[in-house]
Amino acid sequence: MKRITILSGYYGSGKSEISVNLALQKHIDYIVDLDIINPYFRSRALHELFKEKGIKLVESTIENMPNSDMPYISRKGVYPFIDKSVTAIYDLGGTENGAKVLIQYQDQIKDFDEIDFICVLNVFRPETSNKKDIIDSIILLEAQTQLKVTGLINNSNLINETTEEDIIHGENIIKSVSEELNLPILYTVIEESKKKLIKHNFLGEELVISRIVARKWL
Amino acid sequence: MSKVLMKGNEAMALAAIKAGCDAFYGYPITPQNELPEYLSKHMRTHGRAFVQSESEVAAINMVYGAAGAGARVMTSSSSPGIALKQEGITYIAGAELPAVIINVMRGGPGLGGIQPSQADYNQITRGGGNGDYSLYALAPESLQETVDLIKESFEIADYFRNPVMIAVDGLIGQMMEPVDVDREVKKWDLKPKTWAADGNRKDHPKNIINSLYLDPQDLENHNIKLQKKYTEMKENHQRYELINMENAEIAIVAYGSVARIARTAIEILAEKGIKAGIVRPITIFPFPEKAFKELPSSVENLLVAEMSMGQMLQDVKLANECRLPIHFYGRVGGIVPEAEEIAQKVIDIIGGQSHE
Amino acid sequence: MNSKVIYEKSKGLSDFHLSYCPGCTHGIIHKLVAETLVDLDLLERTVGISSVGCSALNYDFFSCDMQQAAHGRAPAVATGIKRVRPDNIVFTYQGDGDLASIGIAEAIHAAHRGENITIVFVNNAIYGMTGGQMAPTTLLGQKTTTSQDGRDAASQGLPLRVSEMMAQIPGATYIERVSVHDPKHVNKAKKALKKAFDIQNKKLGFSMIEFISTCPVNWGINPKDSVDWAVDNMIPYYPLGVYKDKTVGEK
Repeated sequence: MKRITILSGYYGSGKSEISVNLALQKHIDYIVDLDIINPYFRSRALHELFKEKGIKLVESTIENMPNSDMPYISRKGVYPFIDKSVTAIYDLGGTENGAKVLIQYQDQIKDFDEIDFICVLNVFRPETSNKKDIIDSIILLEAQTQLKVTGLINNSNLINETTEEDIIHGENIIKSVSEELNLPILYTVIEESKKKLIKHNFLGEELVISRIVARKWL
Repeated sequence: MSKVLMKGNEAMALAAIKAGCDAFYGYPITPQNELPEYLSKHMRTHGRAFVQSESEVAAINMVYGAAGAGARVMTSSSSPGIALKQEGITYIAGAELPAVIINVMRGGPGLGGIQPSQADYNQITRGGGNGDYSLYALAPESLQETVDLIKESFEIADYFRNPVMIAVDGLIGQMMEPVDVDREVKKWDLKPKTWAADGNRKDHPKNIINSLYLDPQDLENHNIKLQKKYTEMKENHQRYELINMENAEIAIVAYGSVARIARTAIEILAEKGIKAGIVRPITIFPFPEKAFKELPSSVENLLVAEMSMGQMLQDVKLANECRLPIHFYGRVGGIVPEAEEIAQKVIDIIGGQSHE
Repeated sequence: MNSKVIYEKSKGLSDFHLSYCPGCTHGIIHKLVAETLVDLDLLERTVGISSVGCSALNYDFFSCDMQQAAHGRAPAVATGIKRVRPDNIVFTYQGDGDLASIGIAEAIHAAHRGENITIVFVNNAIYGMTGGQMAPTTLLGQKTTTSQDGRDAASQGLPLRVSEMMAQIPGATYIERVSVHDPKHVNKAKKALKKAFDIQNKKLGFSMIEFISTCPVNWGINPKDSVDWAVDNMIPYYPLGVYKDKTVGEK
């Protein structure tokens, strides 16, 4: 895992849940919530958990107000790019519109040896359900951010109804994207309650996540 | 078609397209923005109309215009925006026009907050605008139910020539869930819209869309006619679900997201050996009073749980007709009750620790 | 005995008796709108929007399909109709209280979006229906029931020039102010309406014709003198003419 991971993707693709799980599992120093799109289910809502785990949260300039929809972006978001001794995850809002906030760090995002710009994909989201639409969305994402995507995450799921076949179906589509664009599949995400059902050996690192951002009854 | 994973707001938008919605007029407000955003992209590709209006007031009056011209039309908003729309809503009801209005509720009063709420219950069920009128108001608990009901709501609106409101809270708008957007829904027996002022005088004599009746007797007659519609809704079109009610000692009355949470609460209670059921109103107007007549004799208490200070509680009191003790648990301001809180309230009631 | 019809009521008007007071120019303006729709053969596919004010009941007077709108909202209602029936002709008929006060946002934004509709705007510098209150267009010093000492600029502002303002909106195609105080101007006004509806029929965008009108009853002036009052007081402040015509290029 590179020092900085930036997660983008269609809204509802699972960026925040993956960000939080990765931050906890990989003992990341910073989680930078740059979601200016979504009013609910943002990683910033977990500020108490991060405090407990010693993860620094960078969010809106109005801190500890996860229920605000003011799109204020904190200047602290730049710290991980400057301080080379820390690790960080950047959690963006959905689609290219959510990702355009990255332009603010244009002068800092240069060294791709230490930065991964990852597109999270769930083929059960209707806007990213096939190879063409996914490639189109990546082209839009790159145009809007002026950054090159460096990897993909297969987070294909139907929440509680997910089967192993569903994840395999996702992998087949994402693999075709991966080959066309020459981008690695870095992770395949499996929700912990489904783990025992999985026998298939998926591409990339298997990332077992629990539902932290969304409530269990959802 | 197989299921897709959708966000509530998007799923509602897609459902409208599937239902043949000809036009959408709306104004941005959190937490429903993904709905008009989705439609701004997809209505055009379907050859339908989309306008981001200058205000909520303009949006609902555009809806009134398009509905008067015989189109299937929808708007969406969230609580303070719905308050602004009340002028147009009463005109639509008064002129007997079909329209679908989605309310993704947030906390109030005033600018309130952006987190989920059910505090528009009175605004939705008690008119909101001026005059004696009612909306047919549906309050789904899942995205699949939301999609199905939105598709059907265009039929219901056309059938009654009355606005239909889809009352969901911000959670339904923002949550992700797998849905089948092509599931068949009930088709209503609809007549051609020969009343529409659609600028097609070759096919019909002059039509007028109007809610002005300057003669008091005419206006009273018009009100009596409208009232017959609401009576028909009350008598024949109440919708509700009774969940886990066999031998239940307590019934939790909850709709929308809170019903969903109550489902988890009754599982928690079952583990503790307490049998709790749920009365889940699907229509909040007409309020499903019939459900309360069907409760088994094992039910000794009612618990009304909602994200308001007790607005639906008033309707439950009327429907209960003083038969059972009624308890209340409400969270407001955007705070969503946890299943454990509702379960604890039930435990308190059964243990005699809660007062009506 | 042979009889020859030399004048008849326009087919654009219904059999209803117009309810307006003697000396009020609403009747002439109705007739011009009706004749224009007939002359351009648009009547059968027209939807008119009546507003709130003295003209509220004109859903009965025009013989095309009509929809009655809430106070000030007629341009929004027209937008709603036009977007689902783009081949129809859609016009609103609004007074100065309706358009210039409570409905200014709807009027501006319909023009701003370039909605392909026509607004017939009747400016008589006062609220007629509700009993002679001050309008945004009430002249300085003019006495109304809510400016009983005469409109005062310091506390009540200066009269709003709507055509001039609407002409500034990039989305508007055609804006003209006319008057119907004598036959010559009636003919000019009809030409303006024809131009506006022709623009709409050709899908060239938003048009508004402002009519300088009278209100003898609320002004407290007899019908004949009311016409003179409009000419002497209103037209100098609200000059007649074409304020915008995108069909001949911007000025």
